[in-house]
Amino acid sequence: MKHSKAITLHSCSFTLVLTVILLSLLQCNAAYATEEITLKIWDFPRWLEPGQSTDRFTWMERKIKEFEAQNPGVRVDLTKLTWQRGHEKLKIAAVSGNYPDVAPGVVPLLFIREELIEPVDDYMSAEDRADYFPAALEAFKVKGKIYGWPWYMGGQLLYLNADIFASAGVELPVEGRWTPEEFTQKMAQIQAYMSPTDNVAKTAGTQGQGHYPLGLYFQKDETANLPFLMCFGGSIIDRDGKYAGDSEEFLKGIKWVNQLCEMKIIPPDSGGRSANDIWTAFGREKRLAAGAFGLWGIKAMTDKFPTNFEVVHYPTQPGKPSGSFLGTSGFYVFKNADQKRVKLAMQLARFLTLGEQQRDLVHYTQFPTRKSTGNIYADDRHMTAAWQIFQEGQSVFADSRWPQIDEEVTSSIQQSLLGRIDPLTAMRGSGERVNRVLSIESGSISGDVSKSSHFATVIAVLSILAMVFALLSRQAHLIMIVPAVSLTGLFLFYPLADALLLAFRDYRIGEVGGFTLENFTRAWNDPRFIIACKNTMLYSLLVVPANVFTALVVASLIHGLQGKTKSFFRAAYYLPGVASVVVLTMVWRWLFNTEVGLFNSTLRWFGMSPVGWLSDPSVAFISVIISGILKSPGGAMLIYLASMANIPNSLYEAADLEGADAFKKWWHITVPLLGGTTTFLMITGVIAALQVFAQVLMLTDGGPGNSTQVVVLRVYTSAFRDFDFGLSSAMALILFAAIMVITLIQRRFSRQEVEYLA
Amino acid sequence: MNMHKAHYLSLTFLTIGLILTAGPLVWMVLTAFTSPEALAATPPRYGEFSLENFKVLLSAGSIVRWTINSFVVSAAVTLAQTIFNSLAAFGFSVGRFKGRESIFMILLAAMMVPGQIVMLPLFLFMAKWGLIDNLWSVILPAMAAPFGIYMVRQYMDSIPVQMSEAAQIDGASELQIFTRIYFPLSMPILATSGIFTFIAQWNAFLWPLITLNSEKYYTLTVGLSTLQDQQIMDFGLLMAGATLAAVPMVVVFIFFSRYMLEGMRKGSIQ
Repeated sequence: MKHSKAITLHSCSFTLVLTVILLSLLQCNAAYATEEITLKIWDFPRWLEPGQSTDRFTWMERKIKEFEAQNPGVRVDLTKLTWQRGHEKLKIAAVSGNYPDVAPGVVPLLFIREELIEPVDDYMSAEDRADYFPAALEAFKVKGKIYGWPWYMGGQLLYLNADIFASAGVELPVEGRWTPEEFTQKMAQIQAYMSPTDNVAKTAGTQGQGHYPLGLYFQKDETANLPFLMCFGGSIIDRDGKYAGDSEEFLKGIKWVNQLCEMKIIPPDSGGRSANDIWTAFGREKRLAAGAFGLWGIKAMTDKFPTNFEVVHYPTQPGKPSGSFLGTSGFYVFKNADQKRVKLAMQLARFLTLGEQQRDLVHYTQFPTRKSTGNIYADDRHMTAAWQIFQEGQSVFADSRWPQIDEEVTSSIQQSLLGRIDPLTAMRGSGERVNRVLSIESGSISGDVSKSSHFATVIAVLSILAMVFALLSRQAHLIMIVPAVSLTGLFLFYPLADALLLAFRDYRIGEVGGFTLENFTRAWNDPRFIIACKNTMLYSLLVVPANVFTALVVASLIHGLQGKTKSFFRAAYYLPGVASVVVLTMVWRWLFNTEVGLFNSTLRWFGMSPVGWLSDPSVAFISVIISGILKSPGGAMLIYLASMANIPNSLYEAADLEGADAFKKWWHITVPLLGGTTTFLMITGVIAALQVFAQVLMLTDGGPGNSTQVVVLRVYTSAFRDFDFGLSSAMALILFAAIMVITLIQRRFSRQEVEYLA
Repeated sequence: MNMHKAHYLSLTFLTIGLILTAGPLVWMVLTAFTSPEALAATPPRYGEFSLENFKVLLSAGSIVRWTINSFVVSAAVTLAQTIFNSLAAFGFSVGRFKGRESIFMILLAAMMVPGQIVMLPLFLFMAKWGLIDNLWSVILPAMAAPFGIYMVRQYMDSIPVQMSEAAQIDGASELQIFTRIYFPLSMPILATSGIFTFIAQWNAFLWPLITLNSEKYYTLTVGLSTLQDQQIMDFGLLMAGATLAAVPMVVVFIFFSRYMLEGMRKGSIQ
């Protein structure tokens, strides 16, 4: 009997599921049973050791095993980070109190300010200290104390494709040095060599994709091309720690790059390009004569994509340093009440950065930070050249607020380069925001995190009392609703109350209970939020009607089918909706890829020029909308089908008698009668569309230049990247208000609809 | 336009539409099964069958772990929701206690709150209690599902009240009435909502992304997104990962499609 089969199936899966859950819980608890200390270390992917093809953690795992062998009773647990999200994760973990013992990276200014990092001075012997290059130790010094164990040093360089230079008959810069004028001149010569008319003939085999003398990119966290903007003496933050992005010198740099664009020396959409795009063009496909990348490019150009190349200085005024941006990376240790733990963590960090361990850096093409390692690149002329170039290098502004400054300024630079805003206006605009960032000497962020709002606590206590009351009342039904209601109360209402309060408190300044409406004003004044609102509305206005219409058409067509064909199409149209947004977005991201994506490959095949689907700001959001429109109609289609089944046949028969054709019947009978369903779908669709997030995060992360920013993305980034909780909650509340308004409209409509049908 | 022509015309439209909406997925599978060398060529040559991408993906080891995590989370949430929601729905449907409708209304209000607004305070709250970075952080908040209570209550309201009255006369306790009568009778709606919950949990992305830090606790969706971050140029690998992630849901669909499509049909007639 179907009934008992269902029950048996149910109880079988029940037992199975229960067992699986118990097993996994047991696994979690096993670690607590032992007596040993388990150190936690997080690290980024490093190099591929010989014989490995994807695992970039083998060196670290090996070193961990060696350390464990040397220190019995100590276990080390490695968490593998990704370069894209790793820093974000580390920040979130640190601020919420879930940090590891040892963490990787450059000097953690934010954590040091939060007093989370243990200085290494007491653990570093005089010998160690003398062994390190002074510059390396300086990189980790804050207020006279050293806060980490330096591991490797690297930086950004300008790479030239020697073959292209030779074919164009252009000489390489003498000793790798040149002034901006010389640079422009040589690039122009190469451009003449590459000019479009020649291009078609020379590149008949490839698809006429742009060959350019130089490839540039300006992204958050990428300093590779900043020296181009700075070669006239300008900088983003000057020596006194003041904003200088709107200074004459810096603007001159921007104008120079714009000039390069006009001369067709760089591609027109340079403001929207990513490091990956430019690397593909330069390193893999050799379509660029010059490009700036990190030190890793040397190895890549030697082994992976063998090319005749040279590394040279950035163009600079005579007598001035060429200013490659350098970085020193190492391991730092978080403070812990357990001193034994800290000592072991220090030992681990030291072990990983010992002189002889640093010899392995030769696989990573980074420079060691200890003298005892010796010159591991003696026979590599490129690395030797790089070392020389780095002597004239510089570091980014050493302040924990740099990431926010970087984000503000990069966006403006991108916009000016794309010609959308005049440079002076753009840089002045970001100047205001940067100054605001700089002016905030905010209190401890982790302090804010641990404070809970009193109001929310009151609610929590009241609800617990209510629960207890319910349990004691001995009314069976009341007791039954307790689990579900308390879960909802705990995980929905309590945070909601907290959110309401967060929006009204001045969280950035770190005062308790400073009630203010400033978060809301800041939200409205934030250009990114304005763009996000516009984009989100545009998205809803375009995607939802399209999806509802598609569902209507598809459902109508399927409704007219019979039997197996009907079931097939019904299932086939529902199926893609079962895959998660992540999966679908990964596919779209690949389809839209500028270099190897299907769309551009097709365009090239037809001889048309490729489109920067995700890299061109004027196109990027259109791509997002396209991916939204071409979604499977799934659920909406099923709802339409159900409603259609309710339409009495007599109506159609009557229409037949009057000689109406299929289309007329559809338009005059089906569609109007589905009006209520259509309204319902439109409104629920709009509510969902207003919350679009995952696909934008994975397709473009709001870029390029904020052109694809949406509201929920803004809520997320202000909370989890900027830690601006007040602003984030305010924006979320604004969204909530919009949704409530729409829901109320829906209730009015559906009530009217019911009256109509009755 | 006669019936025959109209029929073929609609089939054509439907097929074109199918290509457009299901096309990306088909492409995903195609790429996943194409050899990496063919993909790296310019222009990429598709169709050179190879299992290389999957071999590399599985050898990395973590993806199996992630799948297990996703499964545990989805199963736990579905189980918890089935039990708690049906229990509460019974309480609301059959119970006659004071304040019943008010509490129910408040619960419904919770349905209208967009997830993102509670995301941050919930994260801070759970971080304080050490519930971050393990599977509980994903399971617990998902167990609260007012919409499920609403759906099941609607269904239970349609069960004639004589059934519980008869059982009461026979001396059954409220709990027994629930387990012996209402719970079994609600199987259809519970099965449907259970399946949808399972799929929704399997595909959940934002919340696990925020709360899970250690790779060993990642669910499949989060793990896949980190794969994308790392292997930016290796599309074969990425598509293989995406295919593997989609497969379990396709399997669920094939086995339970009857429940799902029926459930949507029933659920929409309100």
